[in-house]
Amino acid sequence: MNWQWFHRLSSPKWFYQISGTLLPWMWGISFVLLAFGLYQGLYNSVADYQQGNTVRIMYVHVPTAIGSMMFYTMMAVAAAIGYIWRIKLAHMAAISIAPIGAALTFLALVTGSLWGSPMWGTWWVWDARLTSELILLFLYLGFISLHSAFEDRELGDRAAGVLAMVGVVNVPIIHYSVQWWNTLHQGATISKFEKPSMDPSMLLAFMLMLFAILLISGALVMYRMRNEILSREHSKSWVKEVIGL
Amino acid sequence: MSFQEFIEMGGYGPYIWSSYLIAAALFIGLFVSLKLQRNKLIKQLRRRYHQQSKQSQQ
Repeated sequence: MNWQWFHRLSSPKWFYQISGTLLPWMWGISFVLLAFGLYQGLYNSVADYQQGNTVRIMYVHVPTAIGSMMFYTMMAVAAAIGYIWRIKLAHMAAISIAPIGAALTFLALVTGSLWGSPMWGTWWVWDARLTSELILLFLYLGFISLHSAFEDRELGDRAAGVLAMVGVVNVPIIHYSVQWWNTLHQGATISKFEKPSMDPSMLLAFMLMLFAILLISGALVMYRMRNEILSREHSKSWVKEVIGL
Repeated sequence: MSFQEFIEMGGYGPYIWSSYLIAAALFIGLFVSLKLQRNKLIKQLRRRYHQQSKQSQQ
C-alpha cells in the first residue's frame, strides 16, 4: 500500500497551504447558510404546538450540543493519532479543537438553561444529560489547562492527549443519557430511526443552522491550527517565506 | 406579524434573543482573539527573523 498520501496529509506546510485556500470558501458558505438559517429559524418557521416560540432556541442549542460531542470525538481521535504515530499536525489539531469545542459546550449548556427556564421551570437539574454535558466542558477545560501546564510542548501534547482519549467515554454517555436514565430532557427528535417528527419548516431551519454552526466552528479550528503551525514551525524556511522576509 | 410581535416572541423574547446573542458574541469573540493571536505571532516572528538575518550578516 502506498502511504505517501498519509505523509502529505500530515505535513504542516501542506495543511497551511490548503487551509489558506479553503478558509475563504468556508467563511463564505457558512455565512450564506447562517443568513438563511437565521431567517428561517427566527421568522419563517412555525412555533411549536406545545413550546411556542421557545422552540427557536433549538436551532442554536442542538447544533452546538451536537458540535460539542463531534469536536470532542475529533479531538480524541487527533490526540490518538498524534500519540500513536507521533504526528505533530495531529497534536496541533487536538489543541486547536479544544477552545472551540469548549465554547460549543458552554453554548449548549447556556442555551439549554435559557430554554429550560421557561419550559421546565428551572435553569438547571442535576440529571444525566445536563451533568454529563457539564463534565464534557470540564474535560475540554482540563485538556487546555493540562496542556498549558507543561513547559515542553511535546510533553504537554502527550499528557493532555491521554486525558482526551480517556474522556471520550463520556461522549456515548451524553448521547444515550436520555434513554438510560429518567430525565427532564426530551429524547432525540432528528436521529430517530423513524421519520423525524418535526414540521418541515423547523427541519429546514435546524439543518441550515446545524451546517452553518458546524462549518463556522470548523473554520475557527482551521484558523487556530494555522496559528499553531506558524508558532511551532517558525524555524522552517517555508514559514519565513510565508511571513514575508 | 408586526415588528413588536417579532421582538416579543409570544413573551419568550428575552430567552430566545439572549440565546442567539450569547452565541453570536462567543463566536465573534473567538474569531477576534484568534485574529489578534495571529497578528501578534506574525509581528514576533518578523522581528525574530530580522534579528537573525542581522546577526548572520555580522
